[in-house]
Amino acid sequence: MSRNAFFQWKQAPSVRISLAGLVVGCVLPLAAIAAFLIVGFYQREQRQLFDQTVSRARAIMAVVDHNFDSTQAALRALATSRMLEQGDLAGFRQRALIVLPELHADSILLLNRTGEMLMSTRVPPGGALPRLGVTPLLARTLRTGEAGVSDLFVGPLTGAFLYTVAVPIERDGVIAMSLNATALPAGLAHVLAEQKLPPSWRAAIVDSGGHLVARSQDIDQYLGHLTSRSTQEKLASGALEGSVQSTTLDGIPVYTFYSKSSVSGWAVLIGIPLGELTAGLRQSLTWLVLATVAALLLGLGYAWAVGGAMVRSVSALVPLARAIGSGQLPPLPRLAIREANALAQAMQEGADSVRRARAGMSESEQRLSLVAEAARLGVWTRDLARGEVWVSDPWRALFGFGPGEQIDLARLLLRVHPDDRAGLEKTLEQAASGEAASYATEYRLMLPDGGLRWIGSHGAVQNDAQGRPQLVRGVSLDITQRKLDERQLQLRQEEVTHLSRVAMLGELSGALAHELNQPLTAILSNAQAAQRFLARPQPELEEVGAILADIVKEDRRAGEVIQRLRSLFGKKETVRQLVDVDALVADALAILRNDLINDGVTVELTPAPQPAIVLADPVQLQQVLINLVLNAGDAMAACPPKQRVLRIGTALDEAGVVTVSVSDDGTGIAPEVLAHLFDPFFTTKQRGMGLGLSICRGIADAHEGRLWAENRLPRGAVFHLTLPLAAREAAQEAQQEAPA
Amino acid sequence: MNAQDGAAARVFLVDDQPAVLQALARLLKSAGHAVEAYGSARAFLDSGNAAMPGCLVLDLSMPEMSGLALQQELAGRASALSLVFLTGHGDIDSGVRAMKLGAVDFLTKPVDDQRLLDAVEAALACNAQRLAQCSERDDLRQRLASLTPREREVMALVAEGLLNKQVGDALGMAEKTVKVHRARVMQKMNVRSVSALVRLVDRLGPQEPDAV
Repeated sequence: MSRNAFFQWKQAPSVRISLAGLVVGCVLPLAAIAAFLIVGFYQREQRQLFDQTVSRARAIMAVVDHNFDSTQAALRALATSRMLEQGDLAGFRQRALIVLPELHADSILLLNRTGEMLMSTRVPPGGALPRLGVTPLLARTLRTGEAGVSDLFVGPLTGAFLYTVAVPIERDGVIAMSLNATALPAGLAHVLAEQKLPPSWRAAIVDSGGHLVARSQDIDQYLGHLTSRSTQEKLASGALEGSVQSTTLDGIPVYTFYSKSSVSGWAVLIGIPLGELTAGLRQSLTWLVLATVAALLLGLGYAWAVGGAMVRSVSALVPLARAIGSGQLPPLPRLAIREANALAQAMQEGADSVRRARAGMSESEQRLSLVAEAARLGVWTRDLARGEVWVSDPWRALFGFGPGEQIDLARLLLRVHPDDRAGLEKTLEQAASGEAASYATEYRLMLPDGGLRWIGSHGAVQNDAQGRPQLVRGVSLDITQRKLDERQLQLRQEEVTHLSRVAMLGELSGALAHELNQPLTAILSNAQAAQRFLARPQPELEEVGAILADIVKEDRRAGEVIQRLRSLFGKKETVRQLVDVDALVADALAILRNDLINDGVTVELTPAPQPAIVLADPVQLQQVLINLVLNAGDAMAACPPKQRVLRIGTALDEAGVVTVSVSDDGTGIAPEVLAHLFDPFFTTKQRGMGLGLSICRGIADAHEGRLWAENRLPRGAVFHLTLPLAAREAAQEAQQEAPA
Repeated sequence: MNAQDGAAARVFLVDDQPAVLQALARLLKSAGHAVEAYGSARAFLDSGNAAMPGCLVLDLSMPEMSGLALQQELAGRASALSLVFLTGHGDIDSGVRAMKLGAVDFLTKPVDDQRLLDAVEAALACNAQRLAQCSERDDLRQRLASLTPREREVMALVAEGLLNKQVGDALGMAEKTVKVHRARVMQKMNVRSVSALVRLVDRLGPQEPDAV
């Protein structure tokens, strides 16, 4: 785990915090929704209450206005009295006194335009009548010519608070007088009382100036007082209905609803105590808050408890996991959570199987190290990411490094034989780059003591999670003895091949003698002819010159023959080179020419359409071809001369394989012979050793080719030799080098 | 030598190896022989020189038609050419066969000039002799051909040593008639005595009278 990841792990929230978050996250939104609903409900309810209360105030106001209207109607009826028209004020007074009780009025007055009192029901005729002057009501009545209601005022006669309802009396189209009925405010008290408002509420009737005329409580104390300032201002604003927050005269904070009469300017106020208005809401909200807090407390408490159980369970698993990690198998703790118990169970089972696997692994490790020690295997691991190399002690011994000596790739490569260094480097690079998943290589070491050691090394690449090479590990072993044995074996094989070749060539001695004989014959005869030409009285020098040229030519030819034979007889190692198969066939036939002629064998050649170039040891291939041709000749020895036809064909196929087919018209190969044809020491010839074809097949195998035989129809046998065609570029190069 | 074979004797050379062929031709020419060289037995046969006087020097082992095959072919054609065989290696069997079939000599390559020239000389002499014999025989044949059947019968019996009377009895004719036939035979065969006639008939060979 990296440093960064460790910090991230530390910063991750604990399970308790997470659970608490979950509880809060669940409860708070619910509480908020409930609060929203509650507030909405109360707002609706209040709006309804407001509307109802305003309606109520309007109704009360209507009753008051009706009261005034009926008084005015009565006054108008009284004004039509004939006595008033005739100026009989005393009679008019009598008449007014009769009407007075019906009007619920205190008194009835008659005023002229200047405010002079002409008649009062309170003052008997002849009594002194007070001069009132032009009151605001009188002025208004004179101006508008309509009936009106005065504000509260102190009566001059009674000294008590009164109000007046006035109607104008016209004379000749002019308002001449005003007939007034004064009433005590107490007459309006019943209007409020009839409303049966809750006792905590406050209701009042105020005149247009805002003075209290009637009040649901304590009117005696507050009669004539101005209502609160805020209410006055609201009333003065002109709206006929509305509400305002204020404080009652007896000091109660209320929400006041009012309805104002457009006729009289009077108003009815209904005040609901604020506490009463918001009490339900407050209570609901209080309950909500209490419920929320309770739910939070309960939830958090449970979360704390559950989180604690989880923390305890997980904490109990940590030492368990550590103990398992260190190889112990502690008893299972009792855990509060079922899943944690299952996890612990699984961990224990896992630990058990890990322990078993470990036991097995250490067993196999021990076996492996035993094997490595016994086989003197050097084990090594190369960490590609860190560029480090780890090696076992046997490896150090193998590579000649001291126990404490530091080892890296460069130091290792320095020990490698210079001829093998580049190859090994390439192999290691391929493994490191992921080109090869595994490799096996052999190379030579130059030991510090000057010795040479052959190393066989096998490596395998291990990839990381992304599929990139991460490690290369492998074993190295000393294969010097094997290499020596191989060399020895190779030498022996070469020896055998050579001997078989010599043996084969022994069979050809006649042919070879003939081959050499031809140039020798030509040379001798030419030379002796020249002697004779020169011995003449007139030597024919031109002829002698031509003869000498021929002698030189034939001598060279003889040299070539000897060269060819020497390479076949020779024991020296030949190198693989690019050779034209058809040229080899022609060479073989040249060597065997005389034998074939003597045996009366006719040769039919079918060369390849294009040059068939292979990478091969020409001498060994020659050996194979001579063998096949000789066998074919032998197979036809018993045939009539006309039937002795030897066919040699060379073919190329698409897959880049050259096939040389040597066929005869002989008796064919018996099935029991065919099965063992290529076995060593198997022969049908009296003189043969039975190695020829066995060695030929060995040569074909060494050239990555094949050699096999089959019978032909209607008679005869055919031997096929296949060889891989040399790479195209190499073949082209060979052609360019040797255009002849 | 017979006047019938007016052409000079030549040496015919057959070898499939051009270099050897040329060298041998040079050697024979240097010794004063007229030489005709051929690369193969077939080429020689096609040249039509098989009936010419001379000798044939030929390689024993050649592709297609070997020396021995050519020898047999020539024998079939009743060629008078004498043969000298050359061989690359001492193949005794082939040599014996060649000699049995009438080869004059059998030489191994490389061949010493003197040996070859001696052999050629011998072959040419042999050829000349053979040709001479042949011309004598042809003469006889002509004479024989001039005899009537009756004369030939008489000659045969006379050559066997029968008296005239006996011949007459055997052939159913008068002794006098036999005498006349006998005299005509002696004249046609150009002999003066009976013993000469007997030698002539001997030389023709026992089968000769039937063959004619």
